[in-house]
Amino acid sequence: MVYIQCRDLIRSQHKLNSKKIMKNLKLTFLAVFTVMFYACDDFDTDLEVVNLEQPSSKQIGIQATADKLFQNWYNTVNLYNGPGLALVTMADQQTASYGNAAMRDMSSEPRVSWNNNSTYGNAVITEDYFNSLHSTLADANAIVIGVQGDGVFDDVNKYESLARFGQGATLGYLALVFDRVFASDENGTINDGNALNYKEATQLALEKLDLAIAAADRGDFNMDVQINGMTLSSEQWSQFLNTFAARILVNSARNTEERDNLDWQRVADYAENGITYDVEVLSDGWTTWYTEWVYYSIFPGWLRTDQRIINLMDEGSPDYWPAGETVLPEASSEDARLESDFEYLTSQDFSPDRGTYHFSSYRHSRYDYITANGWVAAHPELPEAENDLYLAEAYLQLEMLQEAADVINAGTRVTRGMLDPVDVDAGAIEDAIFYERMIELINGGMGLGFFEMRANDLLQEGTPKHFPIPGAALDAAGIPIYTFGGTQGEAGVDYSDGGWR
Amino acid sequence: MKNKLHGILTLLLAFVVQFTFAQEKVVTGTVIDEDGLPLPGVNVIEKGTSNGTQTDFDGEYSLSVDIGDVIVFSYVGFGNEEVTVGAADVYDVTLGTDAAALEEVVVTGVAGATSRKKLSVTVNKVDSDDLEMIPATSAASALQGKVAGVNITNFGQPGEGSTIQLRGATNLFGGQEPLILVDGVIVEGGIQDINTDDVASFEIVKGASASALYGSRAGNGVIVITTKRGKFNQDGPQVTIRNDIGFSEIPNKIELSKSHFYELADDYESAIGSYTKYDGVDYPADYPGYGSVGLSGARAQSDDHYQDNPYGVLYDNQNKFFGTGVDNTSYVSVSNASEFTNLFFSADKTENEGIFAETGGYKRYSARLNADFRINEWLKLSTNNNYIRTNNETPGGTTDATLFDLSIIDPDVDLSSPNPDGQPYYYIPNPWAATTINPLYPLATNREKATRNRFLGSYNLNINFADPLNLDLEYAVESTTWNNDDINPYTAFQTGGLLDGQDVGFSYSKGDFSKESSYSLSQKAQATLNYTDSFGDLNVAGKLSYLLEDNHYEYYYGLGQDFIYPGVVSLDNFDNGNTFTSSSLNDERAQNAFAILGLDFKDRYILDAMYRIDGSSLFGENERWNSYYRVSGAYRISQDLNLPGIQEWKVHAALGTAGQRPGFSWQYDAIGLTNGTLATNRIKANPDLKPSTTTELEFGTNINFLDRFTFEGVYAKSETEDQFMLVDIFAPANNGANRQYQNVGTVEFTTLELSLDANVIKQKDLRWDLGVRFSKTENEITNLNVDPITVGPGGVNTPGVIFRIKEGEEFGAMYGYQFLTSLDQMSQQLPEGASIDDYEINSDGYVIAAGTEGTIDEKPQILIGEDGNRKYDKIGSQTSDFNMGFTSNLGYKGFNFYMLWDWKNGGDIYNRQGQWLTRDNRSAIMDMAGVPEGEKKTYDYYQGLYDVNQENKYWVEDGSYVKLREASLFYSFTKDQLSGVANSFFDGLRLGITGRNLLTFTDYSGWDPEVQRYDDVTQNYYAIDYGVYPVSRSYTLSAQIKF
Repeated sequence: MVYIQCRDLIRSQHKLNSKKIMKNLKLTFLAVFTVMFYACDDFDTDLEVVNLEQPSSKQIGIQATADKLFQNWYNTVNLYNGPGLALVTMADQQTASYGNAAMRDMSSEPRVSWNNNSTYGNAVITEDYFNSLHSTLADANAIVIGVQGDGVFDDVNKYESLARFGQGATLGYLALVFDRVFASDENGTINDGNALNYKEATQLALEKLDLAIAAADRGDFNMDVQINGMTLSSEQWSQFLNTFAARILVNSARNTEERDNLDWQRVADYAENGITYDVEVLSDGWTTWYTEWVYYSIFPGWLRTDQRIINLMDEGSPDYWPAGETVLPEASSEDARLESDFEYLTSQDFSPDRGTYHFSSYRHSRYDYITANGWVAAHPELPEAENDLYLAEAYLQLEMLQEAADVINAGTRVTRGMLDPVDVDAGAIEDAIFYERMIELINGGMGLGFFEMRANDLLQEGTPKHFPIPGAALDAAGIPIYTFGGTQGEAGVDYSDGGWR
Repeated sequence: MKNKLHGILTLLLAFVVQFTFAQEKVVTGTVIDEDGLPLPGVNVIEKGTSNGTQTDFDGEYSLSVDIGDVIVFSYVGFGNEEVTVGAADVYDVTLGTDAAALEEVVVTGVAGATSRKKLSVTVNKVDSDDLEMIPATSAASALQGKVAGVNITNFGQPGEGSTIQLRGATNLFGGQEPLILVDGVIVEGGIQDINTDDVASFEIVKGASASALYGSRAGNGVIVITTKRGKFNQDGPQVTIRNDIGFSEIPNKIELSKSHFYELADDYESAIGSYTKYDGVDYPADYPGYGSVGLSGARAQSDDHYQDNPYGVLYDNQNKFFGTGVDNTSYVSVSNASEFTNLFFSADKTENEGIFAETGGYKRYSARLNADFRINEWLKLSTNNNYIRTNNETPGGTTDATLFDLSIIDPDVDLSSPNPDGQPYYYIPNPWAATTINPLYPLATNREKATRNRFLGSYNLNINFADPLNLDLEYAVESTTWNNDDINPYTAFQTGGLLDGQDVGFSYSKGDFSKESSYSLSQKAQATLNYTDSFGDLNVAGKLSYLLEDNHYEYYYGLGQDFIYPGVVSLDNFDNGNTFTSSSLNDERAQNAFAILGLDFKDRYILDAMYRIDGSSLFGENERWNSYYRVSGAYRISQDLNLPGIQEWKVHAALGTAGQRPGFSWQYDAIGLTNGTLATNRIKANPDLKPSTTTELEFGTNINFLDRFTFEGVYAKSETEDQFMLVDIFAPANNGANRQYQNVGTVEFTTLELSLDANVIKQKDLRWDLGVRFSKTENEITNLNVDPITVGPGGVNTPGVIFRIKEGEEFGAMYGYQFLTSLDQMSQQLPEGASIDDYEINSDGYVIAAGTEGTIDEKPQILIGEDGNRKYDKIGSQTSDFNMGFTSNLGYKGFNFYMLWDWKNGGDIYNRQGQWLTRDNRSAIMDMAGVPEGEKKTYDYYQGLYDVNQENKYWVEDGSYVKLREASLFYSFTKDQLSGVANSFFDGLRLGITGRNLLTFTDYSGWDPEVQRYDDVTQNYYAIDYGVYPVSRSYTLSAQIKF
């Protein structure tokens, strides 16, 4: 009896528990459902997340990238964190006592070697330039592959020409600034991944530019968005490429001997087919198109024009800041550009403790309109005057003195400088070309003043003639660090062994 | 056989049931608190079963039980009581508040709610009693000095809060911030906006072994914040109102030179009081003392090059720049609990104006509703809802620019001078520094205001299936929108151009306007099966959990330059060519599961083990899953040994792993895109990128002794493997990519943490508690399989890329150049033909050329390395030697005096600002006025020390400090004392004054040694003093009433 009572009790309790649990479960599932219903609406748990924000390297060999090649080359070459500011002060064309962008280190007197350790505070000025140009080269290579393959392009000639320009411009600007170039093209790395010297790399760049010229000459198209603020016909684009090739070739020389031994007929051919207009790039307020080093170079309170340049225009003004002076009288010159392009300053911003050799009574004011317009203004990247000077020098080297003089006398020396025409005299023509490059092209294309001083053996003694491959890249490639300048490298090739003073 | 066994068992059970069933009866009673007031909603449960009820509004209960059963009475905020049912039918129970018992229970990182006495890992707890000592400015600063190994570094800028670091830096890349949960919400947007008044407790899990339960986000430790919940109050809802009002100010001004080295004009006295009249400069007759209009010539340096000439006038420009900021807080909370519901509501308004002139500050408005519902005896819903809106004004321009210009501008320049068009603060007032903008100008002109709307909510459904199993279903969400407007008006100046046709060096910029907006949604869903049971002396707790995470972030930005219509602030008010937009989008997801089991036998042998597996979209595609584990044990010695004077002694050890996830973009083959243009600085994909893993072995002991002391000691040794690093790769060989995120090596850490609390005096009217916290962490990069790199915050003026990541080196080591300090060093690097006799040590301790001291040729000699270049070597370390916190809480009757002292010993700061000051001859060290002749040094010497802004040991300063971080004096009126006021309306009144950063003892020469600067590449903070908004000193009056 007791047993039966117990059994019933156990059964009823078990039933009760089961019922309770079942009820719990039902409510639990209801609750779970409610939570999940609310939670799952935009609650994604798939771990395979695609990065939708940026293109992958497989997506870049297309027309859109090609349209930006010039821009990426342009912005890289003209970076503040690039070599532009250091080079313009190393050339004693502009001057600044500021440590920014290695200006003070590289224009210090006496000149010192470039610190090529990745730890150097200003290492960025070659690192960014090197890396960025290699990225743009990779883009150009991908576009060539696209053009040659299954890529869809509105105009094959136009985009082949752009892609070849991208290859030539990046290889050329690596060769202008560095002693060697690790080159590649659409077929992969060149020279089994080993570096080409700057001369070989220059030739490779010219080959690519020749292909760009050929494609432009074959085609009939407009470059309308590729260079901000300009629309160029294929014919004008070809002219630009020719002048550009002349720039790469002429400025590749590291000393007088190399300059003299250039293929001047090739230069003449390029320049004769070169631009008849100024290639001016419209800056857009320092956002997507900018020539940064120029902005800083001309910004009030920043760089001044080296006395050496003032002396070129007015021999009565010293070419080097005289000791004990704080202000110099205003210069006078037959060259009208002293008035139009330069501003006389009656006081010194730079601290004398940094070296009074940074002092100057002038700054370059020609492009002040860029600053005044909030960096929304056109800046001449490649003016016709530059092409004239390549043509004139080619004629000079080819001993076509009359032609050389004619080119100069039709150019800015007379039209802007209001100077007397140059005589048909080799020395006078040579001087006039140098003079125009120093005065007319100042704050134009990046590095031009430096390249000209380098080719004429005029850089101050100890100044590096080119930069080594950046230390960080050497470290990554397992190549020992090396550098130039002071007395490091080969005299006359890697560093200047005697200059203008 | 099986049937037979079943029959026997059934029979046995039947006897037992018959026996017990026969004794069943209904017992009743009333539950009251210590004041004799009935407690409704008290859980009344038959121990070990789900049989139970709750007391009604009058505190009465009725329950069917058997004789011999144990009834457990439990109620939040009170200690448990147990009653064994005997012959009586009525059992009245008094529940005592048992704050001490509550403090001891920890829920973070363990298998179930665990008494601290039984923890086998280190979890510290800071509860509301500790927090109410002094109203905290931010949730992070509330932890300052309270727990050993928790290092808080404050930001000066209002609303920025602090950084929290637990047990030192563990990650070369990826930040050191711990994982923070607020009521179950994984907080993505920081806790600077969380109102500390709402916080009931912080649980701090410092090491990887304890945080292993949180897996791949817990390598830096975990902080779990629990907010307050409604409490029963006999008189109905309890209302608390608090009002604070106070002010903040700069605690310390930097010393600057009051002299210069230029020749003064013969008639310089004629301009005294107006400007400094220099020789070599022509001044117009009406020269106002600022700007360069009409000036010509240049200053001439004095022959002796000593910076000892007076200025014509001296202004204290720091006084003009730093103002007094008003701070105020209004806080109200309402709390109530009943049988089925408890509710907690709070709202606060906080305003911190900050100490920069012409700039607003931080305003916060927040509201919280925490509501718990006991739906039935097995189903409980807990909800947390927190809405926060902040309005924040960033100082115009950047702190980099304004603080830089403030410190270097000449002291004879009056920053208050007006512009030609009447705008305040002359734009370029210093005629001798054309690039130095009046720092007050952008503060007054450039308006940058951000609004942030945040919602944090979590909803937990607890289903008690049937003991011992219950299930938690939790959904948590954090949603944040942030909008920022940045306006420079049409008339904002820019350098260059003409102003109204005049060349004054600046002109109208036409202005610009940007709008930024971001939206983030972080969701978490978690199902956890909890198990708690006892088998004789063996207590078992376990959890089985599955956790899903989905974090979504999006951002857009629009900028227009050159307003068309002045005064119209709209992105439509610009030419198309002058407008720019950008956006970004991140999605991060994770699926995680873990199991944990905790055993304790006889309350003294404790064992705990767990395993977790995490899948994250942030791991490289070849490494999507990673696992974590922990085993830990503890032994309560005092349970077995009766040691005189020792009330409790436990030792514990744990071994466990936790990790850090990579950043969102690190694994992808993706090329940055801006305005349709591909970035040329590229990072290569890494599908093999793994999370970093920290493995920690921890030993600890806890001792309570002499009835008044509590000691905790922890030693932890850990290593973080697969450290992340953005590694240089060779662009020509990598399709133009020059960097890649890689797992590169291992960093080892050792940590010692000691804390001692003492109830020095514990009398009825006089109480004095003291606390001491000590922590010390050392680390070493033991393996690095790539070349060393140098990291740190960069920027226009390269503030500090000086931290070297190198095998064998400690993380936080500063690298750079140094000057020679001994002739022995000089003898190693003598130039050709030179003799050591050609050199000597100067009065600063540096090697100089003999005979040059005090002359323009005195120059410190640079240490040269073996390669002939300057030697690049260790020059300092930002890692402190140790940190200590001292708390003292002295109470006498209603008075309470609290102090927190903070001591950071060691840890260097790179004083980049000081270095820049020297460039501009503004450093106080250059001021030779008053220095005896023969001891003066030329500015040339100091320019040598400046070293063209290269990283130099000279600028590394000891960042040690002792701070009186907090002090407060409060008086609390009791209910009895207030009984005569307003018909006994008030339950409590508390009045007091608090101060922060009242005293700082340091040798550091900058504004404040508490400096940190963020580097977005490594996502870490570094001790670089440049552009850092100084930490302020503040005083606050506070009044709080309860009714």
